[in-house]
Amino acid sequence: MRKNKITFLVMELLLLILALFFVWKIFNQNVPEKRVAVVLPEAGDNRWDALIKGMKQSAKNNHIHLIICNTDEMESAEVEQEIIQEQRNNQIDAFLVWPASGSETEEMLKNECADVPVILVVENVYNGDEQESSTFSEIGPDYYEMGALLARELGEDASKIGIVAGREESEASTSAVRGFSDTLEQMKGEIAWCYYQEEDCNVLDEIRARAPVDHLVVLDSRTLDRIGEQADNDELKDIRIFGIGYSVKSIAMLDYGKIDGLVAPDGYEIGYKSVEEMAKKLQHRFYKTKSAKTTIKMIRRDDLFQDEDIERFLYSYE
Amino acid sequence: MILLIFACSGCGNRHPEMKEALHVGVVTYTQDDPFINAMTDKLKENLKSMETEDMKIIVSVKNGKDDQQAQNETVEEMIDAGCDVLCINLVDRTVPSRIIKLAKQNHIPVIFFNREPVREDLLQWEELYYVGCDAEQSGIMQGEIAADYIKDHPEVDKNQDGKIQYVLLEGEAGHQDTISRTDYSVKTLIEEGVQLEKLSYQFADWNRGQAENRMTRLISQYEDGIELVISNNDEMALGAVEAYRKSEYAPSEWPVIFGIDGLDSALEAVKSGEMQGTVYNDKEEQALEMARLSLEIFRGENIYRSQLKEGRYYVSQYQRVDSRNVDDFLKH
Repeated sequence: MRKNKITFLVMELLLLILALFFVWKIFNQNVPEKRVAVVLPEAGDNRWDALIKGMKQSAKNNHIHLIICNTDEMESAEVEQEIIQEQRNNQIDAFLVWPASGSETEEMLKNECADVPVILVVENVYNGDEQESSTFSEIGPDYYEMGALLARELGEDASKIGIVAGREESEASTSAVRGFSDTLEQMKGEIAWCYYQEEDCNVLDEIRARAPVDHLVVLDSRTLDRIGEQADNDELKDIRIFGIGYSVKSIAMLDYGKIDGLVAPDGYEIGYKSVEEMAKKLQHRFYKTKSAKTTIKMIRRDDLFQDEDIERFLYSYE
Repeated sequence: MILLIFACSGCGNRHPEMKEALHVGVVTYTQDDPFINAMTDKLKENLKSMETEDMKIIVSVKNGKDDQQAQNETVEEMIDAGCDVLCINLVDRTVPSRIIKLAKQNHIPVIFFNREPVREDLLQWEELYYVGCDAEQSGIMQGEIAADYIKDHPEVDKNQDGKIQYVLLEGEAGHQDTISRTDYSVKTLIEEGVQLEKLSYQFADWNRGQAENRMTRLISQYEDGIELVISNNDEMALGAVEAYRKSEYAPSEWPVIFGIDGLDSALEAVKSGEMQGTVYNDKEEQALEMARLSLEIFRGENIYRSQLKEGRYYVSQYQRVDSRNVDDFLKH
């Protein structure tokens, strides 16, 4: 009798555990995916193709619902703020943000995203102070190192060099220019001029207005694409062009000989790692997100179809 | 007390009064079509000029990568991120149903442009519109310009056999615009009394590079036997021009070449004599109409929509361009 009672209790306990397990399973399946908004300027532009590809793959692997915000140009922190505010009404759990240029962006992000996790992608916020690091985690390439790589690529023989960078108040531009200048100081090269590209300015007019150079170093991908399209113009024909590029267009221009050398960041890796890092934060509330520098590659025309590493690297650009 | 605390915590998350914002999502069929890119740029420019102090307009442009499935996914993403109006240039005009379903479910009006969906699809919902041109008209006008030129220039018939030996550069196989433009162009030439002899037709996907390749092969096959090149669009016509530039033939030995669209580079080619005519597709007017419609839909007004054909079609008129009036269009 006593033995029967114990057996009965054990069976009931097992059934209870089984029931609790199935109830947990049901509720676990109904938990919606976390929603992460991605804020990029002109999100439909093909320079983001590799980045978004990486983000989507990572979102699939990490069960994240990705929302690529509908944007056009993002000239200022104010414009970016409006986009973030709109998405706050769209049940967003976290943000992956390319920071708008200007010194107000850091403060804006701190205010708007005080209670949601944010990771910066591609570049960090601009704060004007080389020494002070930002409070945000950032996943992107090392722009200082990209500038340095280009300087080393130009080599000791490079003499008259013109630099075209992106917006002056952007971390990417200032770091790349610094990296280039610091490395060039150790060689004999001479920087004839340095121009920071502004919106609505014709970059070719700006180049024409400056002293002639033998080498043009373009530290902004969009500007490189525009200059490369004009490379058949007489004024650029005898100038060697190098730059930072992360679009299929810049790779194609290298292939056609319109530019002479390219430093490319791994957009796919930036996208993949940023979503992966955010997923960790969303799964574990007290997890502290980490910054990461992603791969960069110096690509020359001869390497395009000969170097297996380069081919694998460029695969994500397709 | 507890209720008061909850109420106060809700207040802290409110943002100050935001400017009204119209989100327009534009999805083209590809990023490689200069005509569509020019139209999209114009649309963006028009919408931006319609911003006011109280209303911001955000235009997001993406492309379908020549794949209808990819375009459907892009539209779904745009809707997910928040959109008030969609402007869609379909990859495949026969399968808009997924896009229409998504738009209807989310109450987002759609303006299709340049690639016309089948009428029955457009009638599925009252908030579907189309802005474009009549492909038949462009074919007829191309035939008319070509016929006028040939009649005024008997030297076009190089071998003086009374027939014009021609080749066709066509867009996509089975595409409605390809069929209409080709059929009506050739038919009009025949109706105008031009005797024709077809040497070849080649599909080049509306693409300059492909057209150049096709034309190069045709030149090596027929040598100087080609007297007329009829192209469904300017990009392919310019591909033919490029092929002849690289060939051994002097410009005086080239055939006459006609296109459709009125791209700037084609207008320049007409001015220089490398092409003899084109048909202007008024992208400026269409872009303006799309911008007006987008704004009107957002505001719930009915001024422009009431003037649409059957309440949903806006069809702009093509215009003939040849050497006599090309300067008028270059100033556009």
